[in-house]
Amino acid sequence: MLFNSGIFLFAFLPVTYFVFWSLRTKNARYVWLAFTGYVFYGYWNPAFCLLMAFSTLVSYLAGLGFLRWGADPRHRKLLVVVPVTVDLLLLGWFKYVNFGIGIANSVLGWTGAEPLRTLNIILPVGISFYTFHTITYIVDSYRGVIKPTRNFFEFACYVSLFSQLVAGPIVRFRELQEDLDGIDAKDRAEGLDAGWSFFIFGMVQKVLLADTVAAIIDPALKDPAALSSAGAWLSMLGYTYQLYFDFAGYSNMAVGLGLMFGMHIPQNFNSPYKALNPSDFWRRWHISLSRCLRDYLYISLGGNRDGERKTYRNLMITMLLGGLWHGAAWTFVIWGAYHGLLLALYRRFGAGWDRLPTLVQRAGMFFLVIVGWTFFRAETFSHALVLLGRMLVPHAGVSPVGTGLLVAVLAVCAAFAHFGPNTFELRHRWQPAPAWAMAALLIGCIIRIYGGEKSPFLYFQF
Amino acid sequence: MTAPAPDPVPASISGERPRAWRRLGWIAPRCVVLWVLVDLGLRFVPLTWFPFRDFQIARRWFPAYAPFLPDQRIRSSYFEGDEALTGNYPRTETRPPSTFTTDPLGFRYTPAAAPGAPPEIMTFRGFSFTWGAGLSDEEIFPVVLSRKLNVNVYDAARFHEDPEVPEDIDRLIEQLGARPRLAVYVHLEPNGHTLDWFRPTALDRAGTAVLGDRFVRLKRSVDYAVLVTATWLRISPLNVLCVRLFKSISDDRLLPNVYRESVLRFTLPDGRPLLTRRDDLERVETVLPEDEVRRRAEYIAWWRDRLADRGIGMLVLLVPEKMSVYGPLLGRPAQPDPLLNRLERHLRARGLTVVNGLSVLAREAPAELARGRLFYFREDHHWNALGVERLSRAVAETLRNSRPAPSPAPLSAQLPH
Repeated sequence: MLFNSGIFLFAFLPVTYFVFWSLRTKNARYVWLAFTGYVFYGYWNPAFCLLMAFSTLVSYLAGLGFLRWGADPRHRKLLVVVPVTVDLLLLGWFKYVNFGIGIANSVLGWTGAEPLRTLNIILPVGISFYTFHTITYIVDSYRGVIKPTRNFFEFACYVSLFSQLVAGPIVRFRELQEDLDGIDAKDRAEGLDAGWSFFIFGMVQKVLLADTVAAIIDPALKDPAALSSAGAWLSMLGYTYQLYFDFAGYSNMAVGLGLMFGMHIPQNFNSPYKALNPSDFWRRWHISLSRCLRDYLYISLGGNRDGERKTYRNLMITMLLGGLWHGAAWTFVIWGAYHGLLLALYRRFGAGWDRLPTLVQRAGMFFLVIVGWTFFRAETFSHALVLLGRMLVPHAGVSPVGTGLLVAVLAVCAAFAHFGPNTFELRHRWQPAPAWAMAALLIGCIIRIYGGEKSPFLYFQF
Repeated sequence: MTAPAPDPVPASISGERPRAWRRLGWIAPRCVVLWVLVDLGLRFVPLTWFPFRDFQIARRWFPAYAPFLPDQRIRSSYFEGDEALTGNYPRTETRPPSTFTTDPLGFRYTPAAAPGAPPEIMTFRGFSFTWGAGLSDEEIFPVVLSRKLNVNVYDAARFHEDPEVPEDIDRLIEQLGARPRLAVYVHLEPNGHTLDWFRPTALDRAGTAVLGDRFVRLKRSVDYAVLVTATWLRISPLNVLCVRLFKSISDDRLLPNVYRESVLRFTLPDGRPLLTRRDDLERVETVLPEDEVRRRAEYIAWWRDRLADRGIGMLVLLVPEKMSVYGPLLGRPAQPDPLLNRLERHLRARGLTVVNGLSVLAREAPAELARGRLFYFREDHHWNALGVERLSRAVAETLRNSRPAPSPAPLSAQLPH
């Protein structure tokens, strides 16, 4: 189910909301939120609810194991290795097995051997997100950062909370534990205004900005070789803003929905296109993933504790796997490697970069980000090179149909992304006129949802 | 940073608690509710106020076992072809105002050629072609056939999504108080029904084991309720207005026309456009496996047998897709052995009387095209009045020469009922 759909807005959300607030006890609210999470998820494909239930059960049992045998180091190791392996195997099977077969076939092709058959596997929506939820829970339990919950319904509610289920943010248990523990003591009115404010901001970002840009650039990017240099730049600039407003829009909607149900979901984007350097960018872009990669991968690999060379190695491994997390394709691997390289170069030569004027740093970092998105957006490596060639070497060709509107929308996007505050910098206390204006924007979004084609969020595919 | 803990009571400028209607948390959900109310409310106003086609208006509600609301008479000057609408092409094809009438049972009305006499022929299957999408009352296939044969013809065509079983024929005979002697089964080229349609599922077997025949009736009632509800939900004036609004700006100037991908535009010799859905063209140009053709023939023969059980003979009219007729004339590759010719052979081998519309229309199409006349709408995939006239003539000629009698049903014992 999509947040930007009639079934969600007019049926799922009102029913979930009113039943939730009519229930009084903790367990009733946990069960209801867990149940609605499964309905939300199962609306897309009910069969994969079993997968999520399995992953939930394994991690919950691991948590119980920590409570019971947590004092024994051998047991603790086992309790972290087994469930994390199960989670990673599930993720690997559904997301990466065909990618692996593709690589194996390339090798077999050189040897002249018979290629392996690719498998007909459907990637469950959001598997990367809820798998990370469960993994962070297990690892945090192992590290003693959290005390695992004995309440199965609480844990199931955490994993399947519909607002963050399919496209994040990747919320760690510790970040929600306080809200979950006090779920029966929430005041319905408390988060309502801010919740709707976040939700409408997110909806406008997704439906009015990102989807409008997508309607223009998607047809153009189907054939990058036909684009002029200006057309290629406009298209990639469009994608740069589309991706941000699409994903940040989803995250804002998730935060808003969380607030409506008394949950405080953490910030996922902090004006990333205002970043001054690669490190700064990754502190601002998809913050929940960056933190996961840092805390559960980079630091586990040794971080920067074992000298310069190993630090660079750890950076590259982390970013390569971060790229691969986004999708089983070489373009994502290259995108990850590219950002790993930027981080390493910044680490080595950052002092010089930091002496540049702030405006130059911002513009330079934005340019580097756009180059990275070229690989992220392209279906193949050669597509990305064609697009980069069009952008960097002057070419004649066509411009996207609807360039006039694209330029206008990009101007609005740029104003918000580079100069405006982000949603977490706003107070969300609207006087009547702005509140009615926000409501008018919501109606505008609903008209667009009613009138346009279905538009899934870009991060669903990851 | 986590989501800010909002003030329990957002302060107004004066620092006092603002009235409810001044707060976003009050306004926004009410906007959503208002939208739903407007959407629901508009579903109860006359659909003639909105850009709906006559058959959509008549389909807003419909009784069980009939395609339309009974006793409707809709005068409409609104027409736009499905393909023009789907591909968001500018509409260039118009037609004079038409009348869409339904009878007291909810079928498209066919005036009696022989007043007072019972219907002698029944046309069924063929869905929108048979009940005549885009055609006025006097142009539809059963009416033209009735005029040509000077006998009463009853149009028993249902909607393509309605489940249709032979027992429905019994119900219709009972309601009509008369049993037609002959049925014209209209088979549309893309129609891929096979007997799998009737194979009982595990649920059917379990339900029948427990409830017997009551389960079948219950299941049909549920199916009908789901269909009516889904149709009612689908026909939303507000949704249509929003789609129109969005399509009006997807004009390849302000926004790219993304709808155009699904519809192909050909140019006729006189320069006018002819639209066809990409899927339709691909289907026409794909060779269907022989086994699939055989299964379709089995299905049609099965209906022949079911009708024979009821003392009704059956003739099959095969209606080609628009691009099966015009594709080769517009530079598309011709099928060496077109699907309908293959199906005709299978049907004749099973002893059915067949009129192959492809042979008729393909033979006459070049000459008519030279005169600027087509058998189908240019911007829609349905046959037009000329197409109906030519195939009615072919059916009438066949029936004048030999009228199929109810045949014994050799397959009855083997196939599912």
